[in-house]
Amino acid sequence: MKKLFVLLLVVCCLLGSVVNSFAKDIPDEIKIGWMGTISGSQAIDGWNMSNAIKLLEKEIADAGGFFIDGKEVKITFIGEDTEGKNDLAVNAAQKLVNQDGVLAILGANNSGDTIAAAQITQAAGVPQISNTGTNIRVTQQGDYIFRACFIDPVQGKIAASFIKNELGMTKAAIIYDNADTYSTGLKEAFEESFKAIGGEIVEVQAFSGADVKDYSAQLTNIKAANPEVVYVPCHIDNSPLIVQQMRANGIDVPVFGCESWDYQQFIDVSGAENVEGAYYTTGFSQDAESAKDFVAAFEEIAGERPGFSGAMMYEAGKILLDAIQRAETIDGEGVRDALMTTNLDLPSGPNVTFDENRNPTKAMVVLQITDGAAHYVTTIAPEN
Amino acid sequence: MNWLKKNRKFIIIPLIYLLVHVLNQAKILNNYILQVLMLIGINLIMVESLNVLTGMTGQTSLGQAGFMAVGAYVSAIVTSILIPAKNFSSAALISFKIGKIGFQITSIPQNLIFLLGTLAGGVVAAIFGYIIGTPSLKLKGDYLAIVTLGFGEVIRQIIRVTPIVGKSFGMVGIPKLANFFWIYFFAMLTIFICRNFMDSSYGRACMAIRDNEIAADTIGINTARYKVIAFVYSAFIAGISGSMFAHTMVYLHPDTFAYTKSTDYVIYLYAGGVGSISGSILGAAALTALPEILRQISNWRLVIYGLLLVLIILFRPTGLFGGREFSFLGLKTGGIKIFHFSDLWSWIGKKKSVEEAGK
Repeated sequence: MKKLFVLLLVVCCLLGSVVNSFAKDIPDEIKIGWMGTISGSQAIDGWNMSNAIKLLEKEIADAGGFFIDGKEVKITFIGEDTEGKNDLAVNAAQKLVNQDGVLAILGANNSGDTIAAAQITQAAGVPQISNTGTNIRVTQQGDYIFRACFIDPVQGKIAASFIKNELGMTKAAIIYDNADTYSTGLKEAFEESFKAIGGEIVEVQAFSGADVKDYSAQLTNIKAANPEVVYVPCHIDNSPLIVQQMRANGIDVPVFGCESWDYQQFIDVSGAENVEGAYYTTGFSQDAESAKDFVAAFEEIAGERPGFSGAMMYEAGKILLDAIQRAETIDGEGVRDALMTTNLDLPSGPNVTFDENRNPTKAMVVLQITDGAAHYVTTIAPEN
Repeated sequence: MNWLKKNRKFIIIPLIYLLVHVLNQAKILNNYILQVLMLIGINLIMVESLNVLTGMTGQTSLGQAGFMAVGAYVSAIVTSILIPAKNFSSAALISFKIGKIGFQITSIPQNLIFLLGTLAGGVVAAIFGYIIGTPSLKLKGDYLAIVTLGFGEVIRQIIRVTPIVGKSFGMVGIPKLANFFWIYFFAMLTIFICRNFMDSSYGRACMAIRDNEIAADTIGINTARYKVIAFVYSAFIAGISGSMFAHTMVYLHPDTFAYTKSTDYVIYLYAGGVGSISGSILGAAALTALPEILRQISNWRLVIYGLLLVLIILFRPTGLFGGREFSFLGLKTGGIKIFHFSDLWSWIGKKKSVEEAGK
């Protein structure tokens, strides 16, 4: 009898501890904030992101709800506009953290806004996953700041190695926006890597700010330097004009762009004949098998194919929702720890994980524009 | 005691601060609202600075954000590179609690560094104000506006190529030294300094230049000297505001100080009431808070904001508070309508009868 009693006690204790370890505090509703440039010169990114959020909401609804350990939890997304202004990004972060009490934040889409907002989220212990904040400093702001995309040095390096090794070109010219964090970061990375592997930068031309609409002075110098390829690490608002004016000024060498070109509108606005044969690096390819379902679902909601910022927003959301389900405690710290152990198959590729600097391990793809559409060329792993 | 009865503002102003602090500690006012209040304070200082130049002296400036940028970057260099505040203990000097409400006096050395940085920011901005003000003396109206616009852009370009402030990557690692207390303190200080300026012979000379420069010249006012004074003075205040901005945001990017920011301040000034200190306070407060209040209607936010601006200017061309001043400022200069808070109630009720009597 005594033995039975002891056994019962032990079983009870074990059961208790097991039940205890599983009974985490699950709220009825989880709020997730997101911020992006819904207005301003990069509004196209913001709208792409809001469509990605709509897709995430639809997927949750289609699955019959969002479940943590069998309990249904209502997921609410709250979007805020940064207008691409750092001070408004800080306000948006303050509102999401203090007013709405969000569990985590997705975005912002540009590096400057993310770094500014990170000062708030890091201090408050709210995990933040930037979708397209590619600047290396973004995740250096603290251990709660993640990103869903590659970093500028990697993109610049891959562009350089593709031009040198795959295209066999050694004379490159660069035109970039020295007022812009992103553009300057890519230019520096490209210049350094291209020189390191034996290429020659024949001309570097800068313009200042998105308001510049006439590039003939810069392009005349580039034409005089006679490059084999022109690297254009610029935003979607400048790039079509640069490419058009390049052709108008008689520069007919290939152009090489960056992931902000990843919109059908870029090809339409530039004119398909102007960008025929142009290459650009980006984070994922629409042609890839893993992306097909996502692209189809996105097109159904948005009426257009996903751009890079929409795709990365979707992936950031997927990563976050997965981490919330796996988190030991539903709070900032628990979600952050769960994010560090992410291992997910995403549209951009299988087995996406975070490294110790909270950057994802993702391969990059090179796309080429032919016949008015972007097509997959090759995949390059970051270490090459 | 009699003095305090006459100057009730010296009791009311600290009481407002205490109220905000207590509400914040009691979690009724969350940090988001506090952040918006701090931004209102920063913008208020900027609008007062523009008011000295445009409202009182009649000199158009579209480069005020340039002075702000100088103040912000110089003060940030002082507090993060020259005398890094992080090397000093940030432990609070005194910290006590009454009930659940915490009070603390933050680290003295850090605050001293902050004040030093703020002063440096203000002084360097004032030097730039002198450099811009002196050669622009012969310019008026639109031409002066273009010179100041160019100045703002030049400052931004210089920041973009200066490695020590992070070029176009933005400056990180600025200590968060500004808090609601300092911003409130400097905002109130600015209001009263501007009030004293307006009520002094300097202010009256400036207003004479604004109203008729030739007439002012004939009665013996050295117009060149007063214009430079207004420029330097305005730039100094803008530099102070820049320092508050830098140590609140703790991240600076040259594009934050684009000419759109300068025009924002011009809009705040005109919507509030150009030439009026009280109008500047109202304009800064209303138009900083408005986009935040409108966050509820996310996509239509900027449409409604623009629409409200158009309506304000259409129906109140002199601004919300044009030509009036709050009575607590105690202005003695003639030609200014004094607005008593006690009038507010009767004003709402009697407005109709006054209008009828006017006819």
